[in-house]
Amino acid sequence: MRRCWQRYAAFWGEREAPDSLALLRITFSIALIANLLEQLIAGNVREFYALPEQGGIFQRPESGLSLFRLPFLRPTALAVFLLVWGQMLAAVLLLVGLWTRLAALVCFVLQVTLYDRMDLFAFGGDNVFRVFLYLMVLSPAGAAWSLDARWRGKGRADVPRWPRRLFLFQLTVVYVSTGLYKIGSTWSALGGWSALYLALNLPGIARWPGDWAAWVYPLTQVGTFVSKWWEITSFLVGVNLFLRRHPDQPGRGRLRRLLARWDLRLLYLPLGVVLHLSLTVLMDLGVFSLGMVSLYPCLFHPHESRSFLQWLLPSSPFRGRACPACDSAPSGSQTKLHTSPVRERRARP
Amino acid sequence: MPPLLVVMLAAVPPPDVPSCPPLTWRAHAAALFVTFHVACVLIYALPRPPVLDQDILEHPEVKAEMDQGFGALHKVIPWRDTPEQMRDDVLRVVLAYTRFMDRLRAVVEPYLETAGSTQSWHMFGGTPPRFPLVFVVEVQPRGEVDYVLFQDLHWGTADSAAMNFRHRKTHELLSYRSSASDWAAYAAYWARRWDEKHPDRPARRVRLSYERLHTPSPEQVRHGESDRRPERLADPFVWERP
Repeated sequence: MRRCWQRYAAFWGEREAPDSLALLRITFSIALIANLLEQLIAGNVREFYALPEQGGIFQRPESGLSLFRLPFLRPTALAVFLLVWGQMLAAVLLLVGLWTRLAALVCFVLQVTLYDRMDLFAFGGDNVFRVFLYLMVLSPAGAAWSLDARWRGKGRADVPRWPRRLFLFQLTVVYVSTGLYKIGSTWSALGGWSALYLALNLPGIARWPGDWAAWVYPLTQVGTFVSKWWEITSFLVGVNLFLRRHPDQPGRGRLRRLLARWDLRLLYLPLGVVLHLSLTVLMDLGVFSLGMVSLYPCLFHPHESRSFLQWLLPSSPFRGRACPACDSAPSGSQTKLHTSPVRERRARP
Repeated sequence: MPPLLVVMLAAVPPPDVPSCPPLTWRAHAAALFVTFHVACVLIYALPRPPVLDQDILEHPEVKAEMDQGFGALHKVIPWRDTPEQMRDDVLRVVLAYTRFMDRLRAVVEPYLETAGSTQSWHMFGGTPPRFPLVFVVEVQPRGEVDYVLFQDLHWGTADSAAMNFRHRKTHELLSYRSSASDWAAYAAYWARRWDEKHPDRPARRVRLSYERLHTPSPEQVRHGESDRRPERLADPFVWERP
């Protein structure tokens, strides 16, 4: 039992280079900024958040961590604008990685506050931001590719791997839960795989009248099948990543070797991008798809994220020299990230 | 090939990982916390059926879905004489599962509420309705008898194009969360918008209602029968300015 716990704790105690968390921080904050911009440009901030007498619509008792539970803070028009712009500022700081942890905390608290006020206006994407911002607070996402690393000496050579794994776990929960909820007959052969066709005929969501979908009905049936089973089986990506951690040790068992044989991300990620792109084109769902795709970097290994960031930002002030030894640094190691200045990690006894 | 895949495939793989030193208390703490968080999220996020009362079961969408589903299932696995009996069996199991899950959820809810991590992802996975609803706003200006159509949210209308997608979410929630205060608040909002647009004809009453559309089958559409046969639902909500 003790040995099992040791192995289990060692798994969650693994460390890695910080590049994937950094890329996740960048993409997720871009999605959050887009979400806020959408509301500001549409001019709906007061409607969604303020009290009815201040231009809002619904009266709501505050709950949970909402800042409006503070006695001196009421959702007046000025207050809600300050909160939205405050979240925007915090999201920009999160993007550039300055006071990263504090910025993530501010984004999280404000998101909870605004989500609580939004109530009847809250959309699935708002839920995504709220849930994943908590994980961002827990993550050392400013350890690389950030102004914290560049200016404040907060760069770190390796970070715990468990925050990124929590992101992966939560992303899997979203997709698998969504897939499991697709139990209506129209999501199966019983209903002729007609769910997507019906969705394209929803006046509240589809961008155009759905007559055109009748002429490509077989395509919609394929889309229904693929989206449902892609979601339900998305947990295999996490399993596949786990089994492929040590490629030189494929493990015993035919099933295990089969599940580890190919990199399933090469199938699931492009499909996921295509599905979300289709949702964005065909349906009016705000920045939901952008929010979901922004979380995909949690599936990348650090060396992959670093390659991508170096390709994307070849002359960025944030980048450091590659450090292959950092990619799988075990616990307690003292590998340095070659940016300046760098805070040395103290040697563990 | 997308650039991302090219750079990912060309990236240098990591070197061999040396054996790990003994675990510190931080590692144990991290494992404990992660286990706790994962367990809470799994319990909360497990699919849970919606509220099942007689009104819900008699709702046209729900009734159509269940009739079709159990009718088809009865042809394949007829464990009872009629589809209705099979439906009742399944509902009994579902209600027992719901009660069990509610008890578990009550245990983990305090932590998840604090962490802003209460979650239910049914909004992404629900069954698209065969009979979607279109929200209709009509206003009776002061001194006039008739109601004037203010918001026509059918496809292709200017009102529909201007409507923020979040308002559509509100329309959906109002259709089955029937708090009178929410309806009144929403009606008052539309009265204010009418007044802004028609300052010389302020609103006296606002009538909120739904039109139910019928989604034609693909075969019907291809045969030129794409009429959605809108029908105005009874019992509109009428709000009067105090």
